[in-house]
Amino acid sequence: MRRLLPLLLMAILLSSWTVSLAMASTPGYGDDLDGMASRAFNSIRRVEEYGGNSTGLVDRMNVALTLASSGNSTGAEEILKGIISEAPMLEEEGRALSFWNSVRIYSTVAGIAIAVGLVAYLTPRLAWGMWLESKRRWIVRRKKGR
Amino acid sequence: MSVEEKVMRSLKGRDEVILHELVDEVSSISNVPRHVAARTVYRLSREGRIEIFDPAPPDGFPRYISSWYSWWFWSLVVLVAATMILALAVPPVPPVLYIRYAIGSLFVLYLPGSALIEALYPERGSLSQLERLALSIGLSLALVPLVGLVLNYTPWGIRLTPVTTSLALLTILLGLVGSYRKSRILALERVGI
Repeated sequence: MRRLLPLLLMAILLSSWTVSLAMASTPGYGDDLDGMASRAFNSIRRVEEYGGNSTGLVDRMNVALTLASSGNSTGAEEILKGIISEAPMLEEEGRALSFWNSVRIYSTVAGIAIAVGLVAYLTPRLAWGMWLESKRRWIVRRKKGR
Repeated sequence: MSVEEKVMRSLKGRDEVILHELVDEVSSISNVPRHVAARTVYRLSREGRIEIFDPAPPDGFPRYISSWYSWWFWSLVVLVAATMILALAVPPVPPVLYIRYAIGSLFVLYLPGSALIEALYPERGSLSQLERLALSIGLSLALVPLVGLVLNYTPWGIRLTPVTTSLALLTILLGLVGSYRKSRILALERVGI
C-alpha cells in the first residue's frame, strides 16, 4: 500500500491537470467568452471614438460581465453578440453626428466672420448717413480768416 | 489733392452751402463714398476751419423733442423699453438671455447716470465725451443703490419688477429733464444769448 501511494498521488495530479486543461480549451467557456467580451469592448470604444452614443452598449456590457461572473455564460454571450452586431450602426451614427457638428461649428465661425465684415462695412455708412440725415437743412460756411 | 482740400475748394467763393449738397459734391469730385466726405466735413468743423449750423433750430420743447436734436433721448427710450421687454416679458433662454445680459448691464450701469449727466450738463461743450462716459458709469453706480434703498421702504420691496420699473421711470424722467434743458439752451442760442 505504501508503494502505491506515490503512484496514486501522481495519478490524481495528472488527472486534475488534464481536466483543467480540457476545461480551459472547451469552446464557449473561457477563450470564446473572453474574446467576445474583448471584441464587444473594442466595438464600444470605437463607437465612443466616432462620437456615437455608447451609453446603452456600456450598460449591456456591464450586464454581460455580471452574468459571466455569475456563471451564466450563454446569457452573457447573447448580450455580447448583440453589442458586437449593433456597434457598427452606432459608429455610423456617430460619424454622421460628428460631421454635422463640424458643419455647424464651421458655419457658425463663417457666420461670425461675415457678420464682423458686414458690421465693419455698414456701420460707418449708416452712422454718417444718419448724421447727414439729422442735419439735412444745415448750412456750411468757411470760418472768417480761414 | 486730399478730400479736405477739395472741401475747402468747394467752399471757396461761396458764402454758404447746404451740408448734404456739399457732401454730395465732394463725394463725386473726389470719387470717395459719401460717408468719407461727411466725416471730412465733420472733422474740418471740429478743427474750426469751417462752421456747420442749423439756420432754423426748433423753437420750444415740443418741436425739440420731435426733431433729430433729441435722437439721444429716443435712443434712451428704445433701450429702456427693450430692457423692460427682455426682463419682464421674454423667457430667459439663449440666445435672448445673452442679449438680456448685455442690455441689462447697460440699463443698470450706464443709462441712469448718462441721463443724469445730460440733465446736469445739457450743454454740449461743458464736458468731453470721455468725461461723460466716466461720470455716467460712476453716477449709475451711485443712483441704483439709492433706488434700491427707497424701494426697500415701499410695499413692493426689492424685486425684479419694481426695480426694473423704477429704474426705467427714473431714467426716462432724467432724460426728459435733460431734453427740456437742452431745448432751453437751443432757444437761448437762437436769440443770440
